Amino acid sequence: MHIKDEIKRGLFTENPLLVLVLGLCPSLAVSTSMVNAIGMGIAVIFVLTGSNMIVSLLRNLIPAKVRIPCFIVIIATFVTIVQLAMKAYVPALDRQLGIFVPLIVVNCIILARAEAYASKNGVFGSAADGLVMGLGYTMSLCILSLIREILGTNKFFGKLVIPGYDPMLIFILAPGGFFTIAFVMGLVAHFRLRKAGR
Amino acid sequence: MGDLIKLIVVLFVISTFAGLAIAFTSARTTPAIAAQLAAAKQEALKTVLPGCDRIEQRDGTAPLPETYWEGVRGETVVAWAFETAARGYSSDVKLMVSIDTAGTIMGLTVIEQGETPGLGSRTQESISDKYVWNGLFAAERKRPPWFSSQFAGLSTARPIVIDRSGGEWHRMDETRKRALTGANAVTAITGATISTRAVVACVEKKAAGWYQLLARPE
Repeated sequence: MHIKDEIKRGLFTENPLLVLVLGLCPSLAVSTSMVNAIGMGIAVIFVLTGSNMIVSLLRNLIPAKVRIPCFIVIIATFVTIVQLAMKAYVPALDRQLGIFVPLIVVNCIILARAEAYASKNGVFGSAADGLVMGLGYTMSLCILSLIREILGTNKFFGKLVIPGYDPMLIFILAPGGFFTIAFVMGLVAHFRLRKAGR
Repeated sequence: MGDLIKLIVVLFVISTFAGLAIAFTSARTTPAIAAQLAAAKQEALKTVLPGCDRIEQRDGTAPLPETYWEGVRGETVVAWAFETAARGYSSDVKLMVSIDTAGTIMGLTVIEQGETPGLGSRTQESISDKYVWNGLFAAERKRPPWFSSQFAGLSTARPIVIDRSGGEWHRMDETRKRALTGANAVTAITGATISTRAVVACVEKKAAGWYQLLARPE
């Protein structure tokens, strides 16, 4: 396992959001500002790395028949811990992300990585997989948020960007989320196809 | 049969450890969470009761069956503050409102809301006057959110009007702002009529009621 290959896999070739198209629903809801994107990204990285490690450690003990409930219990535990820690130590972020963090439990990225990777690989590999996949997800969220926050509110981290520009509200609403994600996904697919020589 | 027992035992053990982990985290974070909530409430009270020497809590005694706060200047009570919630578009908009002894709204602040980002969430918006090229972390003077600041100075004796003729409050000059306050009017948040109406209706209904109860001579 090469670190460089792993990073490339998480960020580009197997980017969870833009290539594997996992966890679309929370991404649409959260990618309205850069602060939200980074907060959500950090929460996902923590939960994904933690749950991948535990699932990997227990992979030989968990019978195949009850693996899904076991994975969900492990994931839900990590999410609850993240939520309590956020409420206690970063209340400003909790007010913004409060309703989205519990949704990480049902975010397909986490369960998909537990099922597809962590339940078949060693602890270190699984931790690395969680980390790079989490980073890939955070990066995609940031790209979406950058576009939506600037076009929809004329702001970047809460500071104004273009003088005199009246923002297009639709970009921070659900339809704008779909436009942006379709555009970015199309762009990514275009470059992948061109690289593959088609 | 042995297989079934194994399934049950594994799930039981995992759930037990998960429960223990959550219990441990919860025990560690509970005091910090309570402290955060209390700090947020104190902050809100200071915002709605400016210039008061002391703020005293009154717990659900007559004449008002809810908790309220008295703003004291010197030895006299100058204003009362209350907590309430308006049913907004997608959440309860939690408010802290204060009324002075003449029945005028002294201040209002939105403590918590879960309205649509970019629309109803602007009930808490502070307008920034800094651009990105001033530096991302450029020092900024903390401005009160414009939506809640328009409530200061409104009368509880008359209905509150929602004005939609001239755009949002933060784009107006001082004369226009004073004229609106004089007409007992607030401006609506563009695209968030439901949130605006909810807050206005809630303040209008509750504030008048509280004032009636509290300002009644003993």
